[in-house]
Order: sequence, then C-alpha cells, then structure tokens
Amino acid sequence: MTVGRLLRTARETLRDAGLRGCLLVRDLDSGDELGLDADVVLPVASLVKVPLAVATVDRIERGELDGAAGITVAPGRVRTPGPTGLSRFRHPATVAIDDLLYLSVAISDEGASDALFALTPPSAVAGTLRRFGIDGISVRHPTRDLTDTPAERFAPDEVHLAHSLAAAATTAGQGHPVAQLDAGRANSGSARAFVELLHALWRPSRIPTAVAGRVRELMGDNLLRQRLAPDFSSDAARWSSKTGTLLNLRHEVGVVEHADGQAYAVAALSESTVPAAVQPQAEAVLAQVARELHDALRAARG
Amino acid sequence: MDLVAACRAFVSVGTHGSFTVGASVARIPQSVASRRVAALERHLGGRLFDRTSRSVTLTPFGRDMLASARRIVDLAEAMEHDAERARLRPFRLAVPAVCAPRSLARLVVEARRHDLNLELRRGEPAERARLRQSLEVRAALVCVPPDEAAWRVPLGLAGGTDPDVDMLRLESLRAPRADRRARRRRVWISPEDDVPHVRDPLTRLRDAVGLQPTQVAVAVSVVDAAADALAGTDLVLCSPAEAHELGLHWRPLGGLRPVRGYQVSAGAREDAERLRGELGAAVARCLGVPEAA
Repeated sequence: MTVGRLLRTARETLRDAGLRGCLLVRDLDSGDELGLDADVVLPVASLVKVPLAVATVDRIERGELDGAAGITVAPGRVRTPGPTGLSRFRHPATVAIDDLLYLSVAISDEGASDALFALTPPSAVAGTLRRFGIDGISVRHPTRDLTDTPAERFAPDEVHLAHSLAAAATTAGQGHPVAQLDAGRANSGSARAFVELLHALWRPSRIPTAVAGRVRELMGDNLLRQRLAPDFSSDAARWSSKTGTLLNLRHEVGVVEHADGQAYAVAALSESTVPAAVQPQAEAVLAQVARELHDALRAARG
Repeated sequence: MDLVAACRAFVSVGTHGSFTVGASVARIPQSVASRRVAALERHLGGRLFDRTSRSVTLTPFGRDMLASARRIVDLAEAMEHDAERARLRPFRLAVPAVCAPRSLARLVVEARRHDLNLELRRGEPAERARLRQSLEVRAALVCVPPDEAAWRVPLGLAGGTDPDVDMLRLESLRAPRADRRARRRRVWISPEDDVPHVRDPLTRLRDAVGLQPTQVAVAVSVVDAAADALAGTDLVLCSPAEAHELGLHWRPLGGLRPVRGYQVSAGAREDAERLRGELGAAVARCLGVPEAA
C-alpha cells in the first residue's frame, strides 16, 4: 500500500467512527515519520500531566523539592464518572510528592496533579519545557478546571447534551465556547509537539538522564490501557503512555519499545463528532489507525 | 315553482307550436308540460298561449316573454356544463414516494366514487412540502410527529433473512472488539423518514449503544436500502407493509418505537376533511397503517 493510499484509508476509517484524528508516529532512531494533521493544535486534557511530571521530577533532582515530603491533599469528593484517586477521596490524605507523581501519571488523578501544580505552577512548567527546548505545548491552567465542564452540570441521562455542545460548537481556528475545549485558552498542543517531548524523554536530549528515566518509568506504569495499549502492548513490546480525555477529546501519547530495540513515539489526538460519552469503538478505531501508521513505518525500516 | 323547468317547457312548446311535439322534444309527458306552462302563466300574471282545439299560438305577451325564457334556459345549461367541468377538474394531491402503486390506484378509484378526480404526485417529505407551498398541489400528506397525526405507521427493522428473534435490538449491530476489518452492519433510514422525530431518536440510540456513526444512515432511496438488505446483512427502517412489498422480514425495534405520522396539509379545510373522512381508509392503506390500528 502506498503512503498516500494508507493515509486516505486511515482518514476514512476515522471519519466512519465519527473522529477527526491528528496522529504522528516517529521512529525514534531514524527520525522517519508518518502522520495525519500532525500540526493541528488541540486542547490536551490530561496529557499536560507529562510536562508536569517532567518539571516536578526535575525540581526533585535539583533539590528544590523533596520527593519524600508529605503533602496533605483535600478530598476531591467528585461523584461524576471519570476522575480517579484523590479526586474521589472523601477524607483528607497525606501523600509524598513521589507518590503524587505516580498517582498523577499512572491513574491520571486530578487531585494529585493539582497538588503538584500548587508546588510548580503552570507558568513554571511551561518555563521548564522551554528550558529543555520543547516547543508547542502550552501549559496555562491546573487540572481541576478539567473537571468543571458542561458534562458535570448535566444530569447523568443528559450527558449527551454536553457532548453535542462539545462536538458542534467549535469555532474557526480551533476556538470553542467551552474554555477547556478552546485551544487558545486551554492547555494545548499538537501531535508533533508531544512526539518531540517523547523523543526528548526516550533519547538523549537536554532533559537530564535521571529526569527522563523517572518520567519514562512513570509512563510505563500507566494503568489506563483501554485506548492504544491493546494494539501496542505484547510480551515482545513495552507500551508506556499517558491518556487525555475530556468531553469529545480522546488522546493518548506513548512510546512502544520493541524487543529488537526499535522504538516508536506515537501521538494520537482525536476529537469526536458523536454526542456520546462512552465510545469504545472510537477508541478502538483510533488505536487501529495509529497501529497501521506504526506498522507501515516499521515495515519500511525492515 | 321550478322556474328553469317551466321556462324549458314554455320555450319547447312555443318553438314547436304544439304541446304534443314540444313535450316530447323536452322529454316530459304532455301533462307535465301543460302543468308547467300553466304555473309559469300564473307566476308571470298573463296568458302565454292561445289554445284552440287545433293549434297553440303565442299570445303577444308570450312572444315578449319567449326571448327572456330562452336566455334563462341557455344560462342554466351553461351553468350545468360548467359544474360538470369543475367536478372533473383534477384534485392534485402529493403523497409519499413510499406508497405502493397498487394501493394508490385503489385510492384514486375510491375517490372517483366520491366524485373526486384525484391526480397523485409522489415525492419525498421535502418535495411534498415544496409542492404544497408553491400551490402546485391542492393538498399534501405531510410528515408530523405521531401525536399530531391523522394516520400512524409503526416502524421496525427489516432484513433479507429471517432473524429468528421476535425483536431486533440496535445494540446487536455493535461490532465485537475482536472483529476488526469486517464491514459493520448498517440500519438504513429511507428518505421518507429523514425527519427529526424519526431520525434523531434513532441516531441518539445509535450513539448511546456505541455503534459507529455510519451504522445508522440515511439512504439515497428505499430501493438502495432494500438492495443492501437483500444482498447483505443490512437492515431497513420501514413499516411492515413496506417490508412485505420489498420481500423483507420485518421485526419491531427493541427499546424504541419509531412511528411515522401523517397529516393533510391543504389550503381548504374542507379538502383536508374529505381526505381524512370519506377517503381516510383508502389513504391509510396507501400509507401502510396496520389493519388492526
């Protein structure tokens, strides 16, 4: 199959599933890439927890923070579906910074992330990215804003209304009346920007080796494995990633490391036009397309 | 007194100069002709004829009246002719494209029995609304939500093979995770049902049970939809009558009761009432309203 044909089929497959996909797969050693709309900037939802982890681990490594220091976190008491961990806790908990990092990345815990953002505010995280030479990811607000969308204001049997709004109200240039979906106001980035970040984490870069190693380890522990993981993990391949989900946005960025040593960074960002909260078919299709791009790239390498 | 009938008798007798001949030309018995002329004479207050034993001649008063009487007779004939033509002028009615030709023909026959010369125009919902708006038709059967409808047609799913179940659920079309590249089964909505009160609840259910957006879609025509159902495993949203016509197996849809509703849109209330009243049963047959309902 030619590359043109592959991309056309991929676009069609995504459209049939009601998705607009922005994907980029990069061979981390040759630098070869294959992608679809890889430079479109979208709100990134929980993907922002990767830059947050990089900035926090960097501060621990530099001695500005003590990873063992306990932070008392107020209970989130969230009852709507989605949020995990401390966000759902009903009582205060004291957790060490190292463990907040684990909760923030492995189970995408908003409570843990916001405790970390309280130590290293969004502007400082953005500054760290700049220092490491990673461009294209905007960090503008902590994550608690992600759990205050129209979806939280509708009754459970009316959640599809929030999704109709999310899917239909995009304005020109990725603007949106819902702040969390407005690429100009939310934490945002493109598939390419996240592949750059993964590349810098998995191969030698301006990110200190110890920091990169710890973030790789955290991403390897990701527990949310329903999206891309089923198509990328096996006994012969290790999948490390972070997901991001918000209203009609379904993202995942990660690295697959094959037993033969080849490694590929995969960034799959998507927005759905289907007004439904739960869409396993869309997740499966996103993974399928990402896998097909990966397979085409790996086949070319031989 | 029937002035027109009396004038007709007067003109006929006066023209032929005889009660016998005049009555026979006017196709009435002579006694009736005499009675009518006598009544007219009383009405006008003067004798029209001089009657002798041998012949009948117009009086001067009768001669003066003959021209007026002739005008009345001519006018009455012209009016009857116009009435007949007006009765035969076609009543244009826009009907759904999904109606079977046989049932439409029976509707036209039934209408003629009620002195209504129907001329049917088949079209999809938007086309019928357009015809009605541009006054190209006198009335149209338009799609309305069931609670406003004069006729209701329950819809279900029909496929090429017997599904072996009493009811088809939309979620049974969901592709299992392990089934990757197989073509997803689809439900085709025919253009007749591309209206919000039928289409939107179905697409909402599609999204809620996790089907792909393409799995419930509007077909170009009911023929295309039926072809996909007959050739493959797709299903068509249709009435039991349509399924029968297309040779498909019909089943109700689980969890949703889509209903086509129809109402008459007409310029004159009287036209709408005729279609709903004396022709109501024939219209119901065309639309595929189940017999029991």
